[in-house]
Amino acid sequence: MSEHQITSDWELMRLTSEGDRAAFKRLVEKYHKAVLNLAYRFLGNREEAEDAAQEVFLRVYNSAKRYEPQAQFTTWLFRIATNFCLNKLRHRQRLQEVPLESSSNRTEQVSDLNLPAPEQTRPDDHLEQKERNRIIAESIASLPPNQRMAVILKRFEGLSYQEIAKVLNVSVSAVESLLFRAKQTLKKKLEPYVQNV
Amino acid sequence: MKCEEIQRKLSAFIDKELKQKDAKLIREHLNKCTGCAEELRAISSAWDFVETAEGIEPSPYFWTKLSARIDEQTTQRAERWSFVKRLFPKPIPIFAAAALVLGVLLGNFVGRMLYPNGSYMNTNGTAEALALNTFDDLPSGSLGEAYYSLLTEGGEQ
Repeated sequence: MSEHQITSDWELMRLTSEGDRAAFKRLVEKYHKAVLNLAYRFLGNREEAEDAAQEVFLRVYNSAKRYEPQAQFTTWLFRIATNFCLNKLRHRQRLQEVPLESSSNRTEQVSDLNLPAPEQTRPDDHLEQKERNRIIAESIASLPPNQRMAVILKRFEGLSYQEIAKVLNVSVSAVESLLFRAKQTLKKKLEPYVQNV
Repeated sequence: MKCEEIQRKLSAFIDKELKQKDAKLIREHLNKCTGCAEELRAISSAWDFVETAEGIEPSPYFWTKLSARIDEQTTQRAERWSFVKRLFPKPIPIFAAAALVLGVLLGNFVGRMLYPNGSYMNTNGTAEALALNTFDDLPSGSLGEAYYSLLTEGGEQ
């Protein structure tokens, strides 16, 4: 992200803090798709993701006056989104709901996932994108929350390890470890589907 | 570096997060070791496959909904504030009540500072005031006693 963009985001936040609704709208338009998809990939449910994105931007709006441009705006934004999603997941687990056919502590059991057998679907030949989306979503959902979020921030949002560390409030080496373990799990789960990709 | 060590760094290698020196060491190792090269291929394939998952498009009403929530929130805050204003239309009585409470507390505090024993009367004074003859029917020095002594003197005569 360029310096100009950072300044621009800060400027938009400053204007938002002065009650400039148009400036806030520009920020929302710029980032709502990223926040929505982050929540969607993490929570695995469109409706919940929409609510989460709304809630995240409402928090951004309410915190505009207290916002201090110490880090990139996106780091701050993703941190709010991450915290919201993690809390949402905890709340959901307390209610003993089953999120997107997954639970964070079932990471290593490939057989637990309700995936179709590779030979039935033959993804290398004719797997439709929808099915591919489902398989990937289920594999990501099977990761523990922090690994899941690290994967989303790296793979889909393109954040560096340092940025992910700031968002998750952990060290860079912890991020390295989270992504190493996540990739090991994803490799095992997705191996049957990626042979000829 | 041993294979185990190399394989542990493959994740960061794929993400281009390694220092140049480490990345070079890994590249050199991969050229010689088929096991680690195969591991790299397997992780990279899965990682690339993950990226092919499509995202979702936001609802076209996202901003309208958000804007409405902000308006609703602003209205609620205004209503809460007007409720407080209605409850306390004039702030003067509140200040007067607060000043009274503060005065009582301050007076109590100053009193305790000036009279740490807990009383403004000294011990002797208290003994005098509470002398037993105080409770006589006709305490000495009282008008009743003077009248009674006049009467008794007259009787004796």
